[in-house]
Amino acid sequence: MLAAISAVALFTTALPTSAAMPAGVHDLLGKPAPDFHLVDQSGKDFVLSGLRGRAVVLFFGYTHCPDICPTTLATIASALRQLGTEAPKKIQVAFVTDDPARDSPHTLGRFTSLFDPSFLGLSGSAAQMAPVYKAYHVWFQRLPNPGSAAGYLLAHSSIIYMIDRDGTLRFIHDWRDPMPAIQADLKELMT
Amino acid sequence: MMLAIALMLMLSPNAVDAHPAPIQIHDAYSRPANDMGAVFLTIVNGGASDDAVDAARSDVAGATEVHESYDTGSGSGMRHIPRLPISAGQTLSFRSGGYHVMLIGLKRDLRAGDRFTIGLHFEHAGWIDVPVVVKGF
Repeated sequence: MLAAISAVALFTTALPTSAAMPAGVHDLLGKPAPDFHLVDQSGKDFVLSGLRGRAVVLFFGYTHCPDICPTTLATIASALRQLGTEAPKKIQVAFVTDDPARDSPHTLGRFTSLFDPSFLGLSGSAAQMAPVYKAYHVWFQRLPNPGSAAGYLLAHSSIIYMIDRDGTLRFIHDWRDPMPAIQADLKELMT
Repeated sequence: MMLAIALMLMLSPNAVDAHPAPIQIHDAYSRPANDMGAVFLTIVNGGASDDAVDAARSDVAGATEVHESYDTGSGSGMRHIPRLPISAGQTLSFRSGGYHVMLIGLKRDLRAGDRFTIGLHFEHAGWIDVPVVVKGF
């Protein structure tokens, strides 16, 4: 029910942003979050289902992202901090790279630690990443970015996936959703 | 020599400008970052002439450029904006998901609370330096 309310809320209160959700994302709601096996920023194996008992927040992006990824991670970090010291114990945030060619575990660790030392940075080989992107309907595309010193950039879907402690994908948010809406669902995940 | 420097200072636009600057930039902030960063701010063109941002600089990054994030329909894209016009009387907000000053190849990590300076160049108003604070949120 809450998932349904959340999905409705996305369409009614965040019209300009819900258009940016790739098709199929809403179909994930209320179902077991697709499991996957990647490596974290220290090179250790990470299995999503291994975190059962704790809620998980996933965001897919890339460390060369100057705008949306830092803003989203800062929003989540701030929302969690305001929920008290129990929040990081109950909710694990994981940033999953869309750019495994440039984002090594070390690079990811440097990036995620800027926002919160508890955040994970997940990566893997192209063969490991592909089914994860597919399962979560993650969309991205390389932009050649001519005339800029930045090298290639990515256009990417920017969705926050919230998985409860039983492994069900309970809520999704567009990165532009207001912080109180994101925080309300994080709080719900803690109960 | 000293006289020459004094004269140059007196004649420079900053030293003799009795009018309010036509271009004002305020509320500049950045996010924590360690490779690419972005600065968000507000530009007000209070002058009577149109102007345009055509260059940016900073000493914290290898290159500094104006970029724009935009909605692709499936997600967020980004593009380099080599020249950004700002009409007389216009207020232009650089916000997450829109225009930003991109810091490419940061020379040091930007952590919450850090402060640094960037410069924006306007076709008519010239270089304007802007103090920036790094905000965790």
